[in-house]
Amino acid sequence: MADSVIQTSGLTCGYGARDVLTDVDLTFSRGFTAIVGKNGCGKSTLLRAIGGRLPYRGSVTVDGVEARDYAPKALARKLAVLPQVRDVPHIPVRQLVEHGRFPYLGFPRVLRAGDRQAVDEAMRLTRVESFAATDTAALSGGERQRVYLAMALCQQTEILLLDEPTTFLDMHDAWEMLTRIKRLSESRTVVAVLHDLDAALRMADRVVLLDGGKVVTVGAPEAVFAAGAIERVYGVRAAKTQTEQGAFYRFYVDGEIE
Amino acid sequence: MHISKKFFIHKGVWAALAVLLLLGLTLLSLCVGSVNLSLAEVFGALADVDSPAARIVLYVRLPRTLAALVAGAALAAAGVLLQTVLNNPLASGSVIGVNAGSGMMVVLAAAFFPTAFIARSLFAFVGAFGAAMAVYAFAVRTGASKSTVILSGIAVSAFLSAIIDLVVTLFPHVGIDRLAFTVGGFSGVGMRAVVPAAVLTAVGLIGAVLLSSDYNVLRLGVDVAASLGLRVRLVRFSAVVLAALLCGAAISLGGLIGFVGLIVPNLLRLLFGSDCRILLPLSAAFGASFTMLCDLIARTAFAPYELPVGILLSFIGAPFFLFLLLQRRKGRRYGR
Repeated sequence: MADSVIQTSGLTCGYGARDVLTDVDLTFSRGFTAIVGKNGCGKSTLLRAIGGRLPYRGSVTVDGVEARDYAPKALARKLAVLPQVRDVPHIPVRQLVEHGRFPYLGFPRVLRAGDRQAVDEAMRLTRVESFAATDTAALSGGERQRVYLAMALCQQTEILLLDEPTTFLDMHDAWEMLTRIKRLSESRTVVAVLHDLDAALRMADRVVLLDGGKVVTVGAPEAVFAAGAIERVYGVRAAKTQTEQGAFYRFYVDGEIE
Repeated sequence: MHISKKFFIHKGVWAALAVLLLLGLTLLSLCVGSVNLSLAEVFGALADVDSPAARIVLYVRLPRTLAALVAGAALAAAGVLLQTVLNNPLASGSVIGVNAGSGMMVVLAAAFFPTAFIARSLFAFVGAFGAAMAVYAFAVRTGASKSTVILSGIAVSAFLSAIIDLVVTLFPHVGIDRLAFTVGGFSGVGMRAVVPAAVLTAVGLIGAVLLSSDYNVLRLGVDVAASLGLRVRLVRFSAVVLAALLCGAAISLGGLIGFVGLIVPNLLRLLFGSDCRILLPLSAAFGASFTMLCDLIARTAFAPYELPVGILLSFIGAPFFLFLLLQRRKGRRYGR
């Protein structure tokens, strides 16, 4: 796949009359970019704007074309989005994954051999083949998240936008999901909103720190951590521990909370 | 999307069963009544339109049977569409006020254009569409909970039913039996009412089946559907238009028939899941059979007295609605 790029320039958007993001200039390229920041800072709003789900001022280009100029299916062939909150339909896993082929289907929406191959491949990559016939609603949180990731992969896009992919997952499932995402980012542009700062700093190639709808800092995890911006934005103290398995980050509130 | 061979065989058996049931009940409905006819007499009536049996079959039983068939198919399919677009298995034309909106326009049409039967169907569609859009806009714009949408639909339904009563009271010449219309029934229905309603139902069903794959994507929720490139607003709008068309056709035939759109899709969902490609055609087929069967029972069980079919449907539908509510409160799966 070609090296794909998302570029935002003077991006301003929000809900109704309230702007959540103001003048955001960012570039995303191949690799794993984590977007971090406090609640309400505009992380999910940024993904929604890039994903064509929110009107915006300024510019958002996907592969050089303005996001709002894409037809819905054309944009869905460029980028796959995993929203934070999803309905959980009672449908078999394979059928749900097959929906990822929707952007490629003409009328009357019949899967061809190539589509079925893409479904098989996505299910294999996310290890969900063994419960292909199971009702999606009957799965655990981690399994369900993998199924939705399979659906997103089934879109065969060069860009993956993931909104809090590890929320509601236990420690093991969250780590497994992040490892999977990291692997996927070797051949894709992956942008993920993460709440777990330790995970973001350890797994991502680049970290974007937002605060109050603006970009505070962007860069390699080590550089973002060293600049002390995370401590300032979150109002916490941070500590880094180097081990044989790599660096670990701890964040804590210094002093008593009133 | 991908349909396995096993899936086809399994669903094919049910589809065949649905068609056989439909054919069997149609013939039974033509044979049974105050004067019982044999199959030979029924077919003979179709061949010899001057025979005594022909009067019964062609002018009474055939229109009534077709009316029940068309209305049942239309209401059940409309139920699937409304439940999908509102993402709420409790939604159906009778529950959320779509049938009442349609009924209001039917009585207005009967009051002001008493001889225009095609106009009656169109008026029914306009009323159903207005009510469906009102409920849909309320649900989408306010982000109201599923229960709130249902309750607001019940309120809208009560309001529109009051208008129906008002029109029927103020215009007693409208030629509509108030009780029969508000309860729902097929007594006295003629072919000139059946034909336009059948055409509208056919259009609605074909449209719904053609778009069923898109409705399946809607089940994933608005955000996921949009991220897959579905034109969510357009697809939802199409579902509302088609549901209104179907409800309008049914109401113009049999008045405010309730609960078919609630009972049939929810029972079939338990068996086949919520795949609209399967649920829509099967709901139409079983909805038609169910309504014909209820009508048959309603007109024969207490012979020589005849019940409007709506009474029987309410006897079955109201407890079923409570059952769905209870299942929902318990967080159990009542529809896949």
